[in-house]
Amino acid sequence: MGKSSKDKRDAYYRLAKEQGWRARSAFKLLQLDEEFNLFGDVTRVVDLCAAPGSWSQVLSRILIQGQTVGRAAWEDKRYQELRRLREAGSLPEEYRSGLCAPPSSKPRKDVKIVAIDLQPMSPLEGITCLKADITHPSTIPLLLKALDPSYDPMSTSIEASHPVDLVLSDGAPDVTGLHDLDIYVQSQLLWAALNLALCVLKPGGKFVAKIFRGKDVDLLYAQLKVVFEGVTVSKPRSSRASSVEAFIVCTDFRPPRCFRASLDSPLGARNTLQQNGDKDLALSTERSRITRDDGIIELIVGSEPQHTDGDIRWIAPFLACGDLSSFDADASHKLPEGHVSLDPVQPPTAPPYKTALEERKKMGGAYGKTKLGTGI
Amino acid sequence: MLEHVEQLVPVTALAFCSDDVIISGEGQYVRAYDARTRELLASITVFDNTAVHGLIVDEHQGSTIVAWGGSLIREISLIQDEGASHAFKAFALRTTTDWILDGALSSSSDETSVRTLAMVTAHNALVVVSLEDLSHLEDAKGPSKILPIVPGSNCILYTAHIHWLSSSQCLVASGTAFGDVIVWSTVLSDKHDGTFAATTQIHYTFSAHEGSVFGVQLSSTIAPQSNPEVRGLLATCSDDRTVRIWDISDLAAEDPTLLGPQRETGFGSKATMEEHAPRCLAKAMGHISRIWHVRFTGFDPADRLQITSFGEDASTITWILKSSGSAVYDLEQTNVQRAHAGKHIWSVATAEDGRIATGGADGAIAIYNSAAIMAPPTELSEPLLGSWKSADKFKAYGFISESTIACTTEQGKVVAIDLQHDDSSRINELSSCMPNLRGYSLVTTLPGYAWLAGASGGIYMYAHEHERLFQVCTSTQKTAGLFVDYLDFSKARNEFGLLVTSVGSTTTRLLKLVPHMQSSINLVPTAQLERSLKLDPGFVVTSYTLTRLGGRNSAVLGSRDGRIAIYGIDTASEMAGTAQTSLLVLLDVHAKEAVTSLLWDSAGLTRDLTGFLHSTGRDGKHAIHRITLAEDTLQTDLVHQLSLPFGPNIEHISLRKDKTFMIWGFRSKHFVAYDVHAQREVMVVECGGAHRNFAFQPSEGGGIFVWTKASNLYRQSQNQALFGLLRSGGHGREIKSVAISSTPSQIIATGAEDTNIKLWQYNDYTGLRCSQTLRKHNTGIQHLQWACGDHYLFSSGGFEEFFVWRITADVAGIGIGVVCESSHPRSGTSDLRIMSFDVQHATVVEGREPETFAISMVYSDSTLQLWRYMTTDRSWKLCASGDYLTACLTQATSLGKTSNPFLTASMDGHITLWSQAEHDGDTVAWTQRHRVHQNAILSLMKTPTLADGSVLVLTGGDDNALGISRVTPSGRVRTLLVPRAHAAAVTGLGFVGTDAEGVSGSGKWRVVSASVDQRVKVWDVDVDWQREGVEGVDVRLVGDVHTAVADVSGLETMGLRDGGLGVLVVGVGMDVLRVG
Repeated sequence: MGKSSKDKRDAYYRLAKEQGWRARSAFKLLQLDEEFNLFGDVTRVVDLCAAPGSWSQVLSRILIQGQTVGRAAWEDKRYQELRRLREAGSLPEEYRSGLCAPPSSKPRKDVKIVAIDLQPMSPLEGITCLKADITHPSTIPLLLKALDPSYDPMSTSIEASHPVDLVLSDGAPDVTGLHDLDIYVQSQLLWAALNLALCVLKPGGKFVAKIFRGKDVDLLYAQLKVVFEGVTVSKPRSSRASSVEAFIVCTDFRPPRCFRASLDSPLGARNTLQQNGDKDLALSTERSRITRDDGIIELIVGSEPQHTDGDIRWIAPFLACGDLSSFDADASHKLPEGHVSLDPVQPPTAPPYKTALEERKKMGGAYGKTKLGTGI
Repeated sequence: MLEHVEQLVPVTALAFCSDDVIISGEGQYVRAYDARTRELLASITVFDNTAVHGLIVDEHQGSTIVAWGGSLIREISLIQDEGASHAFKAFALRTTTDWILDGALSSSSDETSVRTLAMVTAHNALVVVSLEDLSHLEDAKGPSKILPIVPGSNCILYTAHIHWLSSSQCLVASGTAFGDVIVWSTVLSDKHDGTFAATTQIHYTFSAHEGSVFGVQLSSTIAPQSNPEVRGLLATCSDDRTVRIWDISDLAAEDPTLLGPQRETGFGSKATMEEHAPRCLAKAMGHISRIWHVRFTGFDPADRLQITSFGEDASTITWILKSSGSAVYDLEQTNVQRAHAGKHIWSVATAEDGRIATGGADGAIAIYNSAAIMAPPTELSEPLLGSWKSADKFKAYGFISESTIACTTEQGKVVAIDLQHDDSSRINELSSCMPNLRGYSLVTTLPGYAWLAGASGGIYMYAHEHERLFQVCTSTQKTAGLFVDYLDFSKARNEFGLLVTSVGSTTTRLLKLVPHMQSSINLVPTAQLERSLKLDPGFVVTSYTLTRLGGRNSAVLGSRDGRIAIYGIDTASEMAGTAQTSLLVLLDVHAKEAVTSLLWDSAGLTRDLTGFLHSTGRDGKHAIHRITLAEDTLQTDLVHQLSLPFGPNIEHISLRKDKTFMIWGFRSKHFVAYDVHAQREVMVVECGGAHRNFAFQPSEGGGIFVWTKASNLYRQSQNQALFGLLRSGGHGREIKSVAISSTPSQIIATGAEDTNIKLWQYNDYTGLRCSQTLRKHNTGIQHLQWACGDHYLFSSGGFEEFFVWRITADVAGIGIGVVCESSHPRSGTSDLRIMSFDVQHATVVEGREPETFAISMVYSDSTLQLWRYMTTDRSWKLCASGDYLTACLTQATSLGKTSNPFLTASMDGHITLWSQAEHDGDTVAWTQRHRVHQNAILSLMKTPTLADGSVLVLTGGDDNALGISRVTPSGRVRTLLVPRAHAAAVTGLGFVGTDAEGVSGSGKWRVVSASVDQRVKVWDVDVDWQREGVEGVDVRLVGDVHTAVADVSGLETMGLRDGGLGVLVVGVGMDVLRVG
């Protein structure tokens, strides 16, 4: 279907190339920020599982360079036009966007951004990149040193003297297709990110991580609710509805009393936080009927947090973000006139089976042995 | 409220139990099957919300089984009562702290000693518990936790194998996500208080692969041939597509530095790592994608070590470890099997007798028969022709008995070859060189007889019983085709109809051969009667059969360009020289490709007025015409025409004794024999490709295939299938859409990401049975809908693909007949997806099939198109189209004769009403949009019209919410929203009961919702429709269960056999639940 087929199928893929983002996921963070004001008063940030670095790019442009990446960057102009035609100029409040200027911004002082990934990452100005495993205890001193050059790795302290405002993680494993296992591995990655966050995050800080919205995700929500006051699961419009991916946005970090974070005995499936009685109450909802401003009646059917096999389940509220004028990630879009398909900003990293592919090519399309058994 | 009735989900655990019992983990169930009869013996739910990921059977007490899944563990036992029926008994549920990767029971010489279960978790921790400790009955306090005795690390493992070296020592191999392997062991001591003490040492830790390690297998007992020095082996497989074999004989090895602080992890950390690696004996590639498992599977007949690997590509590859010099080895691929559809083998079991079983993502369980692996093909020419070889070669041939072929040679000899035994074929010369068979000859056969013809002169017949060859007629021209069929349908009297076509002739001769006393007192058929059939221009005969319908006989001829012609052959032979014309000709039955075989299935009754004509063609299809004799004329209906999973050269169809069909043909360089009923390939032979002489005689477990390759004759036989399916599977990828016909037949149609549509039938006895697989889409299926009961099925996908399928529910022999009647004119022309559609009958003529369908389609580029499809001339007309905004539309439904006859839903969470402008007929425009959800609406259904003319539209969103919107005839929409209805996207909705009273009263609906969170919930929706908007709507949650179906994409309501109501949930698998 030609080179521009993916540009049509995926508007954000095209926009990312046009705007110089290393990956389309930059828009997910931008849209999350639009909804949650993630970067408000934020100067110290840790970006986990950062490669190829599109989230760090967002941090760099907004916090370091003081750029403004407003809604216009991902706004579907055709949508606006169609809306304008229909509404004869009287756009409702929710669609004003693009028309008003984004909040002004300037480079911030004392910005510190540390990006960590297992894979090497092309450097970004002003950002400290570490190649390390976020599950490994040795990463903590590395990170603390990067955040605060005066940190003495010989000291036993693993708590940051200058904690950070925001911890991000866009990490996901290579999925196997065995859903239970993939959900488990993703939850482990989330736990790893959270454990690191617990070591460096300041009280009141924010934590944003990718989550797979599948089986047992309510167990994770309930656990996050123990350490954060606000826990919302959010889906940016740039993330496809056909994907289980979503982002958990946790605000107002409240470390439990007497809690000491550590990667030597990390929290996770093996070591969970215990809810206290008050929390249990916080997780339950009363049956209620509320008429919203838009006329929709919300019926809360009411629930107790469910305890199954000793686990507590709780469904976090959902918030879609990136308003309706954003490109729809699932739609086929008409390409702008004179569209030239660009090459990706960063070529994909070599897969582990690269050698296998080369070997296969050398053998003429197969591994050489095609004469056996069934005709596959 | 909800009860699981039947499910077909990925098989995630397997184990061989006592002699003939195999146990499987399918979702939350453990099931026991009889390996011989395939009967399901027993089934038990072991976990409420978790799938079973591992099973081990106590080798001493075959009835004791330990199942685990996630961090849960449960012991169960399989009990056989006096009546020989089986049942499972469950002990208390236990948990540990982490995901369990593998477990093993300690072996002990005597049965009474304490058995210990050791398990490795995904963080390389060791969990140990005595079997005795697991054998408690359920504890009211809930499951008690077993804590690890070896704590593990932070790095995540994808695989581990634990193996008991003695009754107190375990050896463990662990494979990490980063390509490392750690081999370690633990010595355990029982503290006799239910706990154990452990001493651990690490033997090896090394970077084994370039990608994640997905499978590891230890062996401390088997050694490769010719090297007794190697006492311990490790096999590993990975993301990097390689299988590697390592020598881990030296378990004394121990790197003290390894026991210190944890080493650095992550890809590419090798440089800084001090490795302690074992020697890699061999490495090989064979799978085309990731490799999930590897096993040591005994020794081949030459006593070489066998290794079997199982991949994401759903194939099972057997390797031998071949010594290529002292201490140098090669892995040589010896066999490839593909028993599963689509992707993924998730579970593997091996038995001591060499049997291997696999469980796939398709839900199938296959058992491989290593004894059936075919020896290399036998060459017949050299040994049989002996000294003739340089002067003569085998030419044309066909089977005259189960294992005998009649064959001509280049020099014109006629021989019979007995192929009964692999290595000792016998040849019997029937005639010396016959001049008119020299250089060119044709052979056609029926059991016991062969007919032969050549360039000119005589046409001969050979009767095997009498071993006699004689001339039945002469031909003045070169014979182009020779075909035969039984004239007497009982096949008892040996009356044959022989069809002879000549090169360049516009007629063909049909000879009747009836039994006649020959001079030598043998009763052999001789030519009695001859008639001449006139061929239409360009009609080159490629296949032939005789049919009888209502006592009338016909000859049916297939042509090289896809035509089928039918001739009446009852009237007295006409005047010599006058050729008879056909009664009717069917065009393009196999497009413009050759009709390779014809088969008449009168369903056993020759007086019947209806029969079925099967044909196969080089267009890759199997077609069936229903032929009916009505008012003395023949009527034909095409009732089935589907592509087979091989081809395009489909060569023959035959009816087996058990009344099931076998079809054979070629796929690239392979010959394939296919069982139509079981929908599986039963025999595959690499023969070089389709263009060659060949003959095939099917038998119970395969058959004998004979073929010519480079002027030599080869033979391959198979008497048992290479694998048996203990359980048949479904789709090879996740199901994206489901529709169930609203007829008593309840045909279930599922469309999946594997691009196939499957038609299923469900009943309480046989469970879910797939009767047809429709292969035509080139993209994943987006939507399916039935129309006119079960007569029409419509399907849509990507690339604007949209097909109309005509379904016939009662085709003898195959059950459901399917014809792709038409495709949308824009199918395949763009990269747009037709996300959903709604079909309405536009006209229904009494007693006849409807002629016109009105189809509203919604597209990924935010457009709605209204089409009309006429079945009579298969024409399409675009009636109107309109743009929404820019969001992808996801759902379409019709609201009937209202001012806003169409309703759509979209990725932006809105439901939108559309009307077709009166003055401007070819556009459809939306009149109002109403926001219900925050983002994508993924499921939608509506109630019938309420008393006030409004309808309730139920929607499930990606925002976890359930929406109930009341749409009035004037287009007013009011919504009640239930947020947090599920923990993930709500992708399936269905009504399972209604209690709607009259005009003045209220209504009650029972609604089932299903979500990607793998929960199925039941809601009671009460509606007082006299109250304004949705003020009178109330919703209560009344049921909530787990489903083993991941990635749920839809739900349909169905009736159960006993009159109860059920729902079918689809996604990665299928789950039937009863709603109480």
